[in-house]
Amino acid sequence: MVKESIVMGVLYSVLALGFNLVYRVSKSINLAHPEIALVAAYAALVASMQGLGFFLAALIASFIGFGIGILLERGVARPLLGRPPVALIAATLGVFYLLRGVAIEATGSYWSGGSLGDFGTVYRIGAVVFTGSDIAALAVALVALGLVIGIHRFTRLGVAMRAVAENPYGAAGYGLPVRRLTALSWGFAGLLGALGGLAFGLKAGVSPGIDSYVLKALAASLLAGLDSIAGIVVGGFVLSFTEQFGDYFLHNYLPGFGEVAAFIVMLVVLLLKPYGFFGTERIERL
Amino acid sequence: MPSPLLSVNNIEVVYHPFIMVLKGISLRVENDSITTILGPNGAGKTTLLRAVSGVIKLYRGRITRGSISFLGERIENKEPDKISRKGVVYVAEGRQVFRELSVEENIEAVAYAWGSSDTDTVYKYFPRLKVHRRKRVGYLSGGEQQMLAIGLALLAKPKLLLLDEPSLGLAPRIVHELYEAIRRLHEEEGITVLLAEQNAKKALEIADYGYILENGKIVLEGPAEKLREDKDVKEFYLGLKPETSYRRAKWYRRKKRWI
Repeated sequence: MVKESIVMGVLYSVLALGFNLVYRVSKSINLAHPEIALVAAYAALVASMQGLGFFLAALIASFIGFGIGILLERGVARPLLGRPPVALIAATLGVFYLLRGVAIEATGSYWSGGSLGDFGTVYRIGAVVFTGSDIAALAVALVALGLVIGIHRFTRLGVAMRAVAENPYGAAGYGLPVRRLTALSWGFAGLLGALGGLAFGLKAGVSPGIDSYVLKALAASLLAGLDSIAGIVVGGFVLSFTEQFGDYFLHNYLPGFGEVAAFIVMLVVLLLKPYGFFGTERIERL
Repeated sequence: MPSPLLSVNNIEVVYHPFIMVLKGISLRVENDSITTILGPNGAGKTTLLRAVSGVIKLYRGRITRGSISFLGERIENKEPDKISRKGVVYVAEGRQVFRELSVEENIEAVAYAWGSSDTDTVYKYFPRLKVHRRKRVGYLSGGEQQMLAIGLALLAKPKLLLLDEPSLGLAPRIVHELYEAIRRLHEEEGITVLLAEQNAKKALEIADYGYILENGKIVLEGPAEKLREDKDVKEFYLGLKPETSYRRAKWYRRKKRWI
């Protein structure tokens, strides 16, 4: 159970960070995010079924996720610039169903799902037992998380992206390529979605229900605060532990608590701390 | 007459398809000058600078008539980063800095666009910033934030610096310091400045030439020393009282002619 919480915590963090990156630059929630994960996971599944090998499959999934992210910015977010956030939320919801439809059509007989490969070995760390697929999922997720957080924290590109997220109008005046950096943020969000989806696929197999996990990750996003980056890991872990332990203690009284825990967390956070635990506390000098 | 660095020819600017803010404005900024645009709130000063810098696009506005040329090249309705690459850099009003980042990170972020971080120039003109270089910018004073904003613009090595109300909400002593820095930038770095201000007194002190903008139209223009002596400017912008009661009687009529 602890193991399950840890693995899920990291996976949720990866997926939730995708929501946050988009929120930071577009001040809106990308509801198409779950389907990016789904499409990428299926792409990886089909690729590995064709015998392309795991790394190539992961690479294809990453490209697809990144590409969909960029296309969403170009085709959906940019034309809606300056409109109320609701417009973008609704538009991405449309893309959600579009992507799902495309996935159903394109995958054909693969739609019922499958496994991304056999990672049969079992590892023990103390009392905690990890299966091979857990380790593979963790590895993919940690690489994704480390890559994106590292870029934001330590590179000049990352600093520029943070600057654009905070104040796009000012940044444009100083010559920062605001539109390109905004698109790149969406691209990274798509990449995180893809790698998150891939990690879920590794852990539990690819199935049509994979996107519901991604939607749950939104709770981790809200917990951390929609514009936070590093806080996301805490959000992910709080969510996964609530889910696992809540289910363990409550399943006799409230069967299926684990399924709805995320949404309860979402509700509570929105009621008590709408900006999350690490959301921007506006530094305002009066 | 030599061709000016920037010339704005009879432009109209429209926001959100229908709201017209500038109604046929023309102005020239001579090379190596400080030119100022004065006018009350809502006159269109900010819109004019946004139009020149291209930032207007981010506000869903566009130039629907007329042209803007910089160094003989047409720049109207171009992307803001393309325009800044030609040497037109815009410091918007309201201390456009990145508050969540430190001073150094602010410089890093802008340096991303320009490839070099010439921090020495920034600290040379604004030594206070060096003291606070690891502080989050949100905690700096308003004057320091405005200094950083101008400092960030310097990283772009501007030929033409567009400043939008740098004195807004600052103490007179800080305004003085800021204007000294702007004058030095002009003299030592050879940067041409187009300055939009409500603080007419301060702006006319350092400017060579001035335009007065009201309701989206230019109502008066001339060399700064002439504007300083103009009786309407004195009365409406510099707050100097007319001497005779006869003039007071005429006040309303003159005001009407302007608007």
